[in-house]
Amino acid sequence: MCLQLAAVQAFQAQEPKLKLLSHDNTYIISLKLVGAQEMVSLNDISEIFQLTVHEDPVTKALTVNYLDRSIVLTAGQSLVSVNGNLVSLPSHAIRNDSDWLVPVEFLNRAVSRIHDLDIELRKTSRLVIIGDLHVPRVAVNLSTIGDEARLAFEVTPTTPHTVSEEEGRLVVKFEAHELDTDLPFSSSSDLIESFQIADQSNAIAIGLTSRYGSFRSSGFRTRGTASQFVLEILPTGADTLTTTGPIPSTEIPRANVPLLKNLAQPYRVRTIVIDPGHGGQDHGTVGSSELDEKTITLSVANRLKRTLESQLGVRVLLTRTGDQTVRLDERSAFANNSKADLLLSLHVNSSVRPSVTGVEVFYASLKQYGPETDAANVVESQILPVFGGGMRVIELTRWETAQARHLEKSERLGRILENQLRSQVEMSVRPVQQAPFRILVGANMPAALIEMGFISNSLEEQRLASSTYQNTIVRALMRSVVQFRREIERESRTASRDLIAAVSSKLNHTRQQ
Amino acid sequence: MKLPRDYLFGFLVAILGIVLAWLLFIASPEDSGNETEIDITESTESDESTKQITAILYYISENGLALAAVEREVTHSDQVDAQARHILEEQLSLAPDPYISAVPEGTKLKAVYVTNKGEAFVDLSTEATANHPGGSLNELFTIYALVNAITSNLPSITAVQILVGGKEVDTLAGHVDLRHPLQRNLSWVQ
Repeated sequence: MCLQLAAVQAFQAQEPKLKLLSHDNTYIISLKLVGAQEMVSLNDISEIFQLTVHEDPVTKALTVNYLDRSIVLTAGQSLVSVNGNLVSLPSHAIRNDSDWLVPVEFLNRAVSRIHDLDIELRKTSRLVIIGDLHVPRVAVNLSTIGDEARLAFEVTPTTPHTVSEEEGRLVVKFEAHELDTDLPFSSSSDLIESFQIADQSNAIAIGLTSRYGSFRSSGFRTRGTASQFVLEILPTGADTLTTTGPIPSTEIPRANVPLLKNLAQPYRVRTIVIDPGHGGQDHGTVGSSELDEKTITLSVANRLKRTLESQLGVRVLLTRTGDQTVRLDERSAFANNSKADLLLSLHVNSSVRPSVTGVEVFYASLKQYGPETDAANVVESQILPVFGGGMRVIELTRWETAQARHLEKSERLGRILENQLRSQVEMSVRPVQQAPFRILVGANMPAALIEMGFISNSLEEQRLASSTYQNTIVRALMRSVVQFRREIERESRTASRDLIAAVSSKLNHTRQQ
Repeated sequence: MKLPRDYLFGFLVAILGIVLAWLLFIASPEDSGNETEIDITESTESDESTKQITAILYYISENGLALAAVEREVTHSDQVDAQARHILEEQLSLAPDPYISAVPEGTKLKAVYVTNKGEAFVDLSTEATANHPGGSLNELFTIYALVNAITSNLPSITAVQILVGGKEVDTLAGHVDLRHPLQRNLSWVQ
């Protein structure tokens, strides 16, 4: 009986699995091997990506839908139609009882296009990365030289890391969402007990034996997009060696040299902060039925968070999750500290004239803060020591000027919001406006405030309370984010490429001289 | 010779006495601020207080979509801070028909300060926040009715910071940044 159980467990352990990582979830689904091709169940994928599947019994075609977009698979054909464009897959779909098996490439070649989502397939790691997660590949090679153990790390792409010594273990922590690595594996050194992914999923914990004395980190270098470094683990009683802290993975720039890394960093929408206006003691504006603004904004914010997370695979945070009082500066600071790429503040409007109606969109006006808000003058950098050792380039931005360098993108966001909202709901006579709103001024990212309707108008008050209207607003906001992300990221990538090309060309020219 | 000299001395003393008496009882009323003088002063102030200027004030329009610029008679003053106070007091009083005041009911003007940089600080009573109906449109109307009323009529004032209860506030109702002086903005004026 025991032998039988062990055999079953061994069989299960060998069954290949595919891991899908997104901002809010990790999914594990089964892989089926058909010949050498790895296939996945269409039912499993549909559940994760909220797809609907229709099979036409006459034409034998399989249609996979997401919102108004579709993928059409034809029996026996490895070419599929994605939104009318032909995409090649390594094999055709295969019926498996009531389900269908599709090649794993179906995810990054077809699903990504109807979802407007970055999906990266790492076949060798059997890993799928959904959205803008940073998941570097970390390879660790252990060798022993005399009493010492040497751990050679290779990280692709180059990712900043820190090494810290905790009780009985060394923790190598990377600035990443998760790690793509083969850990855990057993140790052949009597200094090291184990290797494990640490609790945060972005760190490797090296369990140490009682023979451990000290460590040093050395040999940091970059090779193409990868970086390498070595951790030397030394036994007790070894010659005294300087234990170094983390080695920053980017060289500290000279003050007069522009930060090429920063210049070349394309803008991407990975984290979105939603601000449900008012809350706690601040009810906001109140309608004739005692319905208050703070309740509506929180309800819409929760709906929007669910939609953005599930449909775009981005990280979504709320400035308040319950009915609590949060000051405006705390809200902007929360978005800034969360490194948000986008801030959407939700509000409900009011007028002393009940006839006034319609949705309004605002982006910041900075005229009152004077010429120091010129986008070119707002960021200073300082090289400062960071906790755990090492140095880091820290940007210093004045509160009143935080929004200045994002104003162009905020205006763009405002226009996109207007167009998407207009297709769904009634807009005010002033659909997009600029105003010195405190929440927007302190935001260090593109930001907009949406007034979702006038609670002072009885019809709009009823609408604002209804889930139908709230969902309509959410749909328009979701589509706005999709459009903004697509347009801005494309332009940002092009601009970064052009900039790198220009700088490289200038450097080559200088070297030749 | 001695007697005539004594008479002369006595005569001079008598003259001096008469002059002093005249100064004390006849000439002095013009310089000592008695009732006659107060009347004259009051009369002068009264003339100035009846002198009026036409100022542009801002109220919520009939359709509620904008601020309407309305000409109103306001007491004149030669002092810029006093003139600002007269304008704001009129702005805070009842709106003429068919308009509605953009300032919350019960709001009083506590003080106006003008700096030599051309910035005015307007201190409102706490009703400005406590009685505010909320909503960004209402808030924009309240703030820019006050800011525009001062900056449109007093060219030497270029920006206005609103205080409440003698203190700086983040906002009146959760939207517009009041931590800095605001410049004139006619975006919401029809």
